[in-house]
This record gives sequence, C-alpha cells and structure tokens, in this order.
Amino acid sequence: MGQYLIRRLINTIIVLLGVVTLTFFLMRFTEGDPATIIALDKYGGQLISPEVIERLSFEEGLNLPIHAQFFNWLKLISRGDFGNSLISGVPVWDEIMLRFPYTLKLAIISVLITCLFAIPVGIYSAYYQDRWLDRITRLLASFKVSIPNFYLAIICILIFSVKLKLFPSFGCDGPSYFILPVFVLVVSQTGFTIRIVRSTVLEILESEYVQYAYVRGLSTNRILFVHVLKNALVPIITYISLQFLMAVEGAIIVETIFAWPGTGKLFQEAIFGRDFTMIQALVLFFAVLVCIVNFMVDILYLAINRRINFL
Amino acid sequence: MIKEIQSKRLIYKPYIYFLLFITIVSVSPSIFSPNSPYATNVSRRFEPPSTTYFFGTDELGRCVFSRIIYGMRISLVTGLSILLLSLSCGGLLGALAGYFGGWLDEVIMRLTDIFMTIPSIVFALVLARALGPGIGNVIIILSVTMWTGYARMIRALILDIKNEHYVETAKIIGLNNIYIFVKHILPGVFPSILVMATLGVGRNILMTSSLSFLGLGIVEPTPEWGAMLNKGTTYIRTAPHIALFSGLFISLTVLSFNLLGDALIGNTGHRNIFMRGLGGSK
Repeated sequence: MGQYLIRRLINTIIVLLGVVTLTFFLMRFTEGDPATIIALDKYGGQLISPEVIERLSFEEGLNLPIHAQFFNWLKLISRGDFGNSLISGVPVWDEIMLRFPYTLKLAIISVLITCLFAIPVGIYSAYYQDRWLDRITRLLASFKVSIPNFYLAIICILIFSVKLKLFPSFGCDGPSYFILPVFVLVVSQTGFTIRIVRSTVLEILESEYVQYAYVRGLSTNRILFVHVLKNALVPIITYISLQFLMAVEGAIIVETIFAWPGTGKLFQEAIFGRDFTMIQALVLFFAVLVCIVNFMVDILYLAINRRINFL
Repeated sequence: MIKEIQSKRLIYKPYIYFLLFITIVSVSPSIFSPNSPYATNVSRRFEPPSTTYFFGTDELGRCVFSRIIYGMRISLVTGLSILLLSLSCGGLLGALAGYFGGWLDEVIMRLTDIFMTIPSIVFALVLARALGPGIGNVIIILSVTMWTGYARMIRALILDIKNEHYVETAKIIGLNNIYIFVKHILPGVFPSILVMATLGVGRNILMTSSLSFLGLGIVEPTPEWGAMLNKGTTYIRTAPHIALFSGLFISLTVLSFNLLGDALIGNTGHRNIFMRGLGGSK
C-alpha cells in the first residue's frame, strides 16, 4: 500500500515537472518576445526602443540560453514568485487567490447538486432498465451531453433574465446570482454522471451478492442504496473528481457569459489582454489543480476500496 | 458491423437523416441557401424570421438561414479534419505504446499524462491566442489538444486484444509485427475506432464552436455557428433569433453524432474505454 502511494507520488511529480516544462516552452513559443512584453509593461508604448529592450533582456536574463532561462524561471516559481500582472500590476498569485474562491464555490455547489440528483436517478434508471423511466433519462442524458453549455446559458438568460426578469444574469452580488450559473453547470454535468452511475450499477446488479440480498428479503431501496451504492462508489468518485475539474474548466465559458468574477473569467481576460505572466500562472494553476485532485482521488481509492490492485 | 447496423434499425432513426442532410448540404450549400451568406443589407437589419429570411437577419442584414447552411460545411470539414489529424497521431502513439509496452509505453503514456493535465480548453485558448483565428489554425490547435484521448483509448483497446490467443499464435509462428498489426489487430479494433470517430466528430464540432464563441476560433465574416452565436449573444435582447438558431444547429449536430456513436457502441464490449476516454484527464 505504501509502495502504491509512493509510485503514485513519483508519477505525480514527473507529470508536474513535465507540465511546468510544457508551460514554459508553450509560453515562450507562443507569446512572442518576452523582453518586448516586459519593456512594454515597464515603460509603455512610447518610451521603448531596441536599446531598452536589449538592456532589459540583459537585466532579466533573457539573453541567456533557453535552458538557463528555464532554470531561473523554475527557481522563481518554486519560491512562489509568479511575477506581476502586465495589466493591473498586482502580483499574479494574489489575484488568482482572490478570484479562485468564486470558482470554487460555483464548482462545489454544482457538483453537490449534480450528485444529489444524478446518483439516485442513475440507480433507478439501471434498476428499471429499458422501462420508460430509463428510456427518458437516457434520452435526456444524451441531450444534456450534446447541448453546449454556452447555448444553454444564453437560453437561460433569455428566459429567466430577459423575459421573466427573475434572476440576474451577470456578476456575483448575493445568493440569487448563483442560480443561473449553477443551473447551467449542473445541467451540463448530470448527463455524463447519470450515464456513469447507470452503467456501473447495471454491472453490479448482475452480481451474486445482490441476488443473495434479494433472497434474504431485503427491501429494494436498501439493496440499491446500501449494497449497490457502496460498491459503485469507486467509479462514481472518480467521476465526481472529473466533474469538479470540468466545473473549474467549464467555468471559463460559463463565467465569461455570466461575468462571474472567478478564475475562468480571469483567464479569459488574460487571454484577451495578452497578459503574459497571468496566462502563464493560470495555465500552471489549472494543471497543478488537476494533478492534486487526481492524486487525492488515488488516496481516496485506498480508503474506500481495499481490493484495489496495487501493482 | 452491417448486421449490427441493421439490428439497431438505424434506417429508422431521425438523426441519421439529419447527418445525411448535413453531408449533402456541405457538398453544395449554394443549392439550399435562398440568399448569399455574405451579402449585407443595412436597411433590413435584425428582421425576425419571414418567408424571404427563414431565420431572420443579423446585425448586418445578412440572411441567418443561409449562414447556417454554409456553416454546416465549415463545421463538418473542421470536425473531420481535426479527427483525421488527432486520431492518426494519437492512434499511432497509442498503438505503439500498447503493442510494444515496456519503456516506450512508459514514455508515451507520461507524455500523454502531461498533455492531459492542462485542461483542453485552456490549452486550446493559449494556442489560439498565439496562432490567431482561421479554419486552418483551429484544425491545428484542436488536433494538438485532442490527440491524447485517442492515444489512451487506442492503447487500452490494443492491450485488450494483444493477449488474445490468435494474436499470440501469430507472434509465435513468427509473423512480423506490421503484418500482425494490419491483419489481426486492426480488424479487431476497427468497430471501436469507428465509435471513437463518430463521438469524436461531435466533440470536435463542439470544441470548434466553443473557441469561436469565445472569439478565438473561426471569426467573422466566415459563417461559423459558434461565431454567430457569439454575435447573437450581444443582441439577445433585441434579436434573439440569431443566437437561438445558430445554437440550435450546434446542438442538433452534436446530438446526432453522439446518438449515432451510442448506437454503434452496442456490442463492441468496450463501453468503459469510451467512457473513460471521453472523461478527459485521469
């Protein structure tokens, strides 16, 4: 077990290092000359000249060979120094930490609601396989998977904000502002979750211990929600973790539409403002988040399922 | 495969006809569009749906219906090109990893892990910002982003089939790797690849329109559905028909590909691989 954890940890570290490297080269090759960007940031458009850029690239170590630059950068980020935003001038990391709670709230609430709704529906759908309940949920699930969340968001705004004037459609200024973004995220996630729960439960319903539970005369609900659910938890938890990541990722579009002040909107702003340092830090931030969540799921596996194949 | 398609009664499914319709329209959109998709008419801006403009007009007085019709070709062509590029690159890497195993597998899979760790939309946005808009660029961007899923799925498929007796026998009697691969493994995984491709086209179309919706994929004046939806959002209060119709066609197209893919999954016996593959990271 310890060995398994160490293996996973080493794996995670390798992936993290790889991601850092990938981010560095991605940014170097895509965002143009960093010395010019920094010069623009420091002195503005009028004052920069080739000499200034040259001096800056010397000062910032940008004339060094690329591998030396890479190690300098590694040193900086390992100290938690991600630089200042080229637009607002504040340290990038502070800005991300200021914005992330908004995204986190949205993600957690939507994942919770999705689970509360999708797990029972998925279980019943599997239990009543190919009956009308199952057919309807399957069809709805297909629809939910296919409708892009930005289209759904626009329809929601049109109906609930423009026509009915029930909920506000942009910003975050109280509980009522949560309703539309959470609704969109929940709808876009339930489709996949119901499918996963359904197919997992279908497999489990075939097993002998479920048959035995029937023979013992346990009630259907007890069998479904105690015996079956317990064994379906491993795939479901993997899925919930994925969903959480999808909520953070999907937030880029949803937050843009609802002008939600989270990291998704921050990323969109950075992309459009060509905020080099912010983009770099956010790409790393998202990637590290994915690594951490995946690693945590591995540990959770151990806690839930002792039968896991450690090798 | 043919038998399966017959047994599923695919002939009777409406989504087949929708996909067929899109394909035919893509070949010659000019037959189906009543007006030019680019012709502006400032005196007839924001007109609601009528008999001359079936889906109304947009902010420059262009016919929304004709633009949607021309958009079908763009969506289908980008969706298929991305599929071709990402499936062949990802598939080749996945197949190498699965078939040979060992250190090659280890290296390719870690590389896939690293690419998968950066969320696809984040990756695509960074690349899109750098390369700029355009159909060709979108195809490159999304192929670079999407190959990882195929590498994983194909590796899993190959691992599954590698230990079958007939493949092992072929190895023992000394057939060479390429022959075994083409003659014994490829036919075995082909139905699953077909499913992957069907679901993949839908996903690619969705991703393309997401990028365009954010203003970074295919941009005006090209009639791309996501870009039209983006413009439509601005005028949602005065002329909701622009956003409603373009979004509707994205949804219908993706839905049709997904339903077809689901129907094809049927007896391939690899449902879990697709489920996992579609999940993205992990």
